[in-house]
Amino acid sequence: MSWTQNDHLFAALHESGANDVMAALYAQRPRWFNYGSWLFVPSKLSPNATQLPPFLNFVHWKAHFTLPRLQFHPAPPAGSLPVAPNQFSLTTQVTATLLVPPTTLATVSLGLRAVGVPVANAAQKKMSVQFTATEIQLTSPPLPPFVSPLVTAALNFAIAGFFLPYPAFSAGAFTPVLSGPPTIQLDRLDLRGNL
Amino acid sequence: MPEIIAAMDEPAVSDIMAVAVAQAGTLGNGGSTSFGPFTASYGASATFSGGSVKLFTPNVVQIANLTLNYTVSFNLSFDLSSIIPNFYFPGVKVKIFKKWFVIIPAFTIDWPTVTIPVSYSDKVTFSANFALQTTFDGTSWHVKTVILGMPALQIGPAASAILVLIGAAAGPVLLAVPFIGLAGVSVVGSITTALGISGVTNLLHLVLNPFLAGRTFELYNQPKHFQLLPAVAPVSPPVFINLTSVAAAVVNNGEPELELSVDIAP
Repeated sequence: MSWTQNDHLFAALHESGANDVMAALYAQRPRWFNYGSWLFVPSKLSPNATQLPPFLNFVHWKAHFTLPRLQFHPAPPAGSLPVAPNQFSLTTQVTATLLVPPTTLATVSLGLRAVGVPVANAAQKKMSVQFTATEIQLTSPPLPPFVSPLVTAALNFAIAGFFLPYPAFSAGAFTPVLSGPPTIQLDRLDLRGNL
Repeated sequence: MPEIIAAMDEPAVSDIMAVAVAQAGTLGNGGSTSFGPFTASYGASATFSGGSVKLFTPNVVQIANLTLNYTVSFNLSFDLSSIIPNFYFPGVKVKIFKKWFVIIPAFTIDWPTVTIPVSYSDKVTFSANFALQTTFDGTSWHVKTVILGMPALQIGPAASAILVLIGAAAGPVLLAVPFIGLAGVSVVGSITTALGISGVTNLLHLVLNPFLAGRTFELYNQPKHFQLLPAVAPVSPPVFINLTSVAAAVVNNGEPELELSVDIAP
């Protein structure tokens, strides 16, 4: 079967390429992987970390994610989360610290797994693929209060901010107008469309 | 498995090729040549337009109905004496009264060298096969189509038109030549006969062929240090990845497609 099928253009990013992209993002856009309240991230303009509000306005926190690993369908389950057709899995470690000045409540390291789907975002001329986590799972011993929702919120925020413009999928050969949603199959994220 | 695959079918390649053809811009060419008694200095400009693409494995891009739009300007110089015989007057001695004579001595008119300027614009449509070629210049990756061989240009009608133009342009030039009226032959006819359709055709090929020889059209041009994400002011700089290899080929898995295979590294 041809790449373009009933369309004129086809662009695909293989899982290994997606992880190269993730590594580039991790090295060059660290604020997507480090989060904290203003006590840990004093400036909203920091290139190294993203400032989010304190939890309940007084519980300060920070979270650092290790380099996430992406797997595209078909992929083994991420923990107990199966990776269905058209889904990706994301695996990372997060180190989170909770603090109510002057006392550190907890510092925990935990495994984090998520599955999600790619979504096209053609609005506002963004012409990009965004990723939406449909399920997030923390693997850890029993957690102190607040940790799980904080980490989940940070990850959701991170994933929601993660996007790739369409030309990234064609190495700049063209910018397609998509004829359908992005699909994941055979370890590839595929785009089809027309000029 | 390449980390990035970008594929285009024939209509898409036709659209991208149209942009590549337009980006080739206006081309220039000039020089001089001699043939027979003639010396021609010439300048020419040309653009390409149109064309529809067919793809053939493993790496041939055929462009049909590609149009070469051109303007040529010739300055055609030649010694008139090489076209028409010099005029020889044997001299006369005329008795006008008793022992009075008017004597006009013998003389020869050696015709001068003249230059005829001609400018001509036209277009010629042709088809040609191109091969895909991928190169890396140290900074950027390029995928180009490079013409295979020299396509046959149907320029007979243009040559005929140019010959007529030369004849028309010769008239005013010859008027400035003293005693040309004494030549006793159709000088314009002699010039166009000496040139002939074949002479003009050869000249036109000489001018137009450089526009085609080795002609390339660029389909892809991206820096190795490829910008993945734009900067988001004021906190996020742009994000780059490296395109470590780029390859182009025509594949056919049900329909012919141009396939770019790209590997990347953080």
